[in-house]
Amino acid sequence: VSSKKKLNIQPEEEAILIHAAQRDPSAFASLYRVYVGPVYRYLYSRLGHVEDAEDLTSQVFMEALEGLPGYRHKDHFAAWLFTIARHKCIDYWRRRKDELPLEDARGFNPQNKDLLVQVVRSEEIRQLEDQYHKLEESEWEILRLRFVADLSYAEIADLSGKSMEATKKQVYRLLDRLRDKMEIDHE
Amino acid sequence: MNDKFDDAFKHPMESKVNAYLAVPDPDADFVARLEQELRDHAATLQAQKDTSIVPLMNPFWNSLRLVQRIFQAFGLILVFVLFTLLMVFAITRLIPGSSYDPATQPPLILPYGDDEGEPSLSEETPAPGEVSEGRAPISENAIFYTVQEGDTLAGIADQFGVPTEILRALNDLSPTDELEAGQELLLGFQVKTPMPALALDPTPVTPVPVRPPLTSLSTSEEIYQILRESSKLWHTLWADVQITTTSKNEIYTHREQIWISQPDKSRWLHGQLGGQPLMAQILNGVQSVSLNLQSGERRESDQGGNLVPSQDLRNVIFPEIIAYRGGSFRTMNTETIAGRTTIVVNWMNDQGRLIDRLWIDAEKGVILRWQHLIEEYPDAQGRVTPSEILITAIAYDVDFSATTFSGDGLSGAIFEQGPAVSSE
Repeated sequence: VSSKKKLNIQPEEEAILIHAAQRDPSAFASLYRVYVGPVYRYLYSRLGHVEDAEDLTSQVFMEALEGLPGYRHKDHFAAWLFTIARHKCIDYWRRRKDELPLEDARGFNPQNKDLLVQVVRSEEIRQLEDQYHKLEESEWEILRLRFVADLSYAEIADLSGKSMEATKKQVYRLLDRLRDKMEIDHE
Repeated sequence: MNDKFDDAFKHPMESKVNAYLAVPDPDADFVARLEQELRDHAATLQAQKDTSIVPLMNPFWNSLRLVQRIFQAFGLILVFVLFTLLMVFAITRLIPGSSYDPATQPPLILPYGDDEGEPSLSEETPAPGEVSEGRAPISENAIFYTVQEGDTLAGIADQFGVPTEILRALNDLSPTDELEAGQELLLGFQVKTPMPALALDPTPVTPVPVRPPLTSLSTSEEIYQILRESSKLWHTLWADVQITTTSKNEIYTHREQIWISQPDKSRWLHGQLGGQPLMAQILNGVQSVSLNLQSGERRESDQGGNLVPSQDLRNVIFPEIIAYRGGSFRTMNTETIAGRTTIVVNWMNDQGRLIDRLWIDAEKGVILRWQHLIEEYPDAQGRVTPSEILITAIAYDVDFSATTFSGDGLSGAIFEQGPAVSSE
């Protein structure tokens, strides 16, 4: 249903792309094509605004292009890239500290959904909507990285400074909690 | 419990959270636009990188290659001689009372850096405010400027025509760094060979950082750059050329000779290999004369014409045309063609397909040999590109004799062994 594309790139392949781009900046385009979707969707889900998401996406990749010679293969490239993206978000909200983050940012966007699926799922989605305040913002952040940005557990682990197993467990616990809360509400 | 963490396992809530969090994909136009912006920015970064890093690296690799060559060529005998020389050098330098006195002798400077290949700085300090070309061995061609009280980076950039970004990159300055009076700034590098006589070129020449000759480590962008600038690196040129065309049934090689004095004079001969010219053309800024040497048919015109009438020859003498066709170059090695050091490069088209191999004059950018590796590659006009263009002899910046571009001497024209030089 979602047109969301997974990052279909092997780690070895990615390492080659990174190495090429470090030698020759023009080779950065292939890395960009792999990550533009995830980065944009992540930023959009945090900002809820197409133009701002585009603006920050562009800033993230410009900064990544300039910073790439300093990138070391210690961490996952995605973790490095999303660190930039998260900093951009923090700056963004700092500059707009009077405004509140849009809750719509979680993006229930009817135009992008298959109508039938929408009908079937809308009830459950509405229930989830009610749960929004029952999870911490930082907890939604983990879910966003996993389900909006399509990052792997290993990449999220790098980004949050935890082990992969701990990250995996955390995601599943969050999902458990959401399910439990929804069941309680439903009864 | 454990199988819960198996990758194959999907939590029942996953699809719901997925749907709940789902956001639209980026707009395709936006994605394409940003990619173009990144490419443009990458080109700028690459240009800065080339200016700042490559010239500093090359001396190290060049010296390594030199050592390798020496080993290959002369083996142990030369190594022994070198060792002896080094010992003599060490003794005269290090033992007190020896003949070498640093106060009276010129400083001894190793050609390229120290053993680590790191540039070491000489103690020579240029007079304040002057542009000095000393301070070897960072590079023999480095140009330095000593910062004056009140100088700004932007001011220096304007004065010498070197963009501030490049100045920063060359001198490892961050945007917040401030200049101090007395500080030495690296402005760029001078080409080894002097620029050709510029009297005929009305545009003022700004001291842009000129890249040193290409090496086998040169990047694709550097190669494009020298191809684009090639015609600015010489004033007159003479070349003897063999052009081989391969078609289905035959291989045919003909010969062309060209004399060019930029911007508007040329003499061109075209004929069979091993024979005499059949066609000739002269352009001398006043008129163009073309002559069929077999039939004697002569045409004169005051409309001007092509400095190099044959397109194949034009492509190698004025390689700007090649530089604008996209694709990328991969450097292979260096070879000597017609007595010139050339960089052998493969040219790949935008699809990454290997099309041509070029031997590019490392200093001048002229293509001295061009092999077409694809059998059938007709251009837009359906014309088959020659399989090989080979410059067998070339001379740059010679003073041609006064009669070279005179239309009268054309009828008896023969292929020459070299350019007819001015007798002055």
